[in-house]
Amino acid sequence: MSDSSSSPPLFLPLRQNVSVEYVSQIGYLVAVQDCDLHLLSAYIRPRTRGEDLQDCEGYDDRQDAATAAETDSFVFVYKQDGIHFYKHAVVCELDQSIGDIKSLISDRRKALMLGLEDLVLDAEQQLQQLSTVVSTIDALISLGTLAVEQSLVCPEIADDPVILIKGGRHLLQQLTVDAFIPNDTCISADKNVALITGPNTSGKSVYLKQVALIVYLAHIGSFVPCEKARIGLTDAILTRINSVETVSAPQSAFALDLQQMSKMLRSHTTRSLCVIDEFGKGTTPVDGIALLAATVKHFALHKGSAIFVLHFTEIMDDQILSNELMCSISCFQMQTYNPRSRDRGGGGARAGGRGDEYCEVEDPSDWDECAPLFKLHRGVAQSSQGIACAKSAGVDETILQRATYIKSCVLSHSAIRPIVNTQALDAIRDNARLITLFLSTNDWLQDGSQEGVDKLQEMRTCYS
Amino acid sequence: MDATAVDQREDDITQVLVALCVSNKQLGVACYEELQNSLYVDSMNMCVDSIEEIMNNMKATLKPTMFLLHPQIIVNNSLLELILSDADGTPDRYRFKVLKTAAWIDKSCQYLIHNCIQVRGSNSGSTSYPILASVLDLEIESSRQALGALIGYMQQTVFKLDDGKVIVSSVKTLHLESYLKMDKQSFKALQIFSEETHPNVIKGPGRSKEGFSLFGLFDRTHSQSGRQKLKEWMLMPYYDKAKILYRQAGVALMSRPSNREYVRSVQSVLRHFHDLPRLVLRVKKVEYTHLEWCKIHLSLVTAWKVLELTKSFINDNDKDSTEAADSDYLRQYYESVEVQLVAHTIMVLESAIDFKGCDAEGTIVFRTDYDRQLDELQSTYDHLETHLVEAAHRILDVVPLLEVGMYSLQ
Repeated sequence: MSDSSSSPPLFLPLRQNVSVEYVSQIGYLVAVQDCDLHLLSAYIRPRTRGEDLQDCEGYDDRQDAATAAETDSFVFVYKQDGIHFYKHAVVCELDQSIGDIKSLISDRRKALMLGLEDLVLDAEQQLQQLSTVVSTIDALISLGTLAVEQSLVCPEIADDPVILIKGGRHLLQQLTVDAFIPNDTCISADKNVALITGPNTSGKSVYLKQVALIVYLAHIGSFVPCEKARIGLTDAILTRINSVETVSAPQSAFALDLQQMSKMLRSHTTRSLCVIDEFGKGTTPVDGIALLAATVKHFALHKGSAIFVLHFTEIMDDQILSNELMCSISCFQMQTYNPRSRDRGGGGARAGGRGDEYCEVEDPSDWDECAPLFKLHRGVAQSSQGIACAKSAGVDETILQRATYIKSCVLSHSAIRPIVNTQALDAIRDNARLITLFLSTNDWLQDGSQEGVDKLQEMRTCYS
Repeated sequence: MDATAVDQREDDITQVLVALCVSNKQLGVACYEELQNSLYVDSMNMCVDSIEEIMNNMKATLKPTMFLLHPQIIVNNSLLELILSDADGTPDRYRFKVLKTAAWIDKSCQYLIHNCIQVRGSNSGSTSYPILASVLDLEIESSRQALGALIGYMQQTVFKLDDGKVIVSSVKTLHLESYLKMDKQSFKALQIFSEETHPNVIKGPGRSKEGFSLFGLFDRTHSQSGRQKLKEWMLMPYYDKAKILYRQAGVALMSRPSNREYVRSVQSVLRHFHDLPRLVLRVKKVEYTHLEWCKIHLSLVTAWKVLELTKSFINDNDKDSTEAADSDYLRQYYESVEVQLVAHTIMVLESAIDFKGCDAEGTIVFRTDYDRQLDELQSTYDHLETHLVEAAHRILDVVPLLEVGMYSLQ
């Protein structure tokens, strides 16, 4: 043995014919090729169970292993692909000294991993707390960074239900425009309802969302986009802004609007903020105005901050909202710039209304010159300038003219005349003349007079 | 008192059944109160900070006699303990029943809500859906599931109906949380969150990204768990002045120009901080590879750095009386963590695992000096071929196969 280990290169070629291999569950075996078997035959000890098992049924005889270990004989184990495997004392020693080394390593590694698992799992609660602390610091830094970047201010959290915002901004809208016009908000326990009117695309809905977002941000502990804010503690922000129709709910768009309003009316408290965008537009104007007015009245009576964006300015009439109710309501409008309004005397109180001032752009020639100012002022806008909006959306000129005519008729309570087609009118007139000529002479075909010929000539002209 | 009498007495108690369901990180609660013959429904975000408060609030408000639980709740041991224990910590105070998963299937629950609830006095024809939808937020899956499972159970037990309608006097929304209430529609309308998916991608978890939204604008976090924390805050605005003011103090601290260096230093290390609770969960489930251990190690090292930065910030600011409030604020967080345990865990992990080796080999590699027994086994394995060659030589020594030697030389 010592010789062999001292000069391994001399014997290395032998490994081609005699080698030692490890077979899982059987252990280390001596492998001998079929062609060299005759050289080994003298040392092979027959199996205790007989030679007939020679063809590889598997090795499970411990007695044979013991015999092989005690003597220098080779005990056959199995044969595969022309190689015979034997147990021998030397390989039995390997079984004892080395064994299934891979499994032993794997078992040891598993045991060590178990120790590490216990280390982590024993500290599970502390690690969760660690995660909470680090993530909280990260989130606070995030809010702090944005506060610096977007010039946000720390709002005062009040116990009374107020929303006082000076120079409020909509953070997302601000990113999409070159210059954002800030607006103030003043909602208190006494004046808890704000009605916002103004032309289409004048920024009413953005303002509505802006107020809701500032209140929301104040409640997550963030700073808010404005110059100064005093926000009352709010228990809910309830909105009716978008109607999302879905086939999964057996309801129409207007029913969904009503459902949102119903939920709002049931669940709001004196500390809730309700923002309502154009409620009542999904049904007839009369029903819409009635529902809207009743809702405004509800909020005026039952308190809770509410901001309405609306086009139904009719609800400001004396007959709908009483003066007592109006004490709880503030009216605001989005201003529109119109260069000619100054020449014509500009604003002024709306007839029959209770707004402070208003701005109206109705003359189609003014459409190209007027522009929304996105600035909120006290008052009620008389018109939504839907037609001007249609023009800017590229609606056909004839349709706009007809719409303007119908609107003027409705406002002046005069009858709306049908559309006059001048070409058709001319044709009718010619036909009438033709018939008159034909009927004027009964015998013009008989006498062959010049008058008859002239009439025939005139008829031909008329016909052509 | 014999057993029958006890049973009789239990039957006499007015039933207050509470169904609880966890779905999409939300806890849906539906309650039936027999005395008022009323249904109460609520849902809330599952948040570690608030769940105990919610549970105690729920038990105080509803006084439940029995809980109907979703099988998923049973799996969560800590949640189950919280549900069944009393506010003073007495365990197993409440009876409970686990309803089969089939009872909580969303579609069947929707069917039951649409067709099997009738609110007394409502003239809404064949379905009470409009009135229910105007009271409850049925867009929230956990609410639907809790209510549907409760109705299904009541049909079979309290009302003993085969397929009939459960007629109740009223349906109301509960307010169990001390948070500002906002429904899903409001979050969407105000563009607080906006999930965007590519039209070509089939919807699934992890396939969407945050679009143009307030959360997208506010998210300046540097770690995944920081992002989750911010989302949690934005989903649950406070209705508690003290809590709002406390968070405002934190934001003020982080936005103060004098603290910018601390903020920058923390930000520079935070991106290596992973979702530690999720990683620990994977270890608990033995569903880990070397990557999880690398992430745990990296997260702990990052957290350690953050704690060290915080500690030095506190020490620096303690000297300055004007900045004492800031250091007090951060001290509360710093002291809530067992710093020594973090250090010990890092040390053990670093002594045990060769993280560079892990990256190179794609499996968990132990350090050579960590375990003597493993080292010996590894050494034996590394030299196994030599051992086998030696054994072959010994066989040739013992057995006179010299002919073989000659044969082999040919």
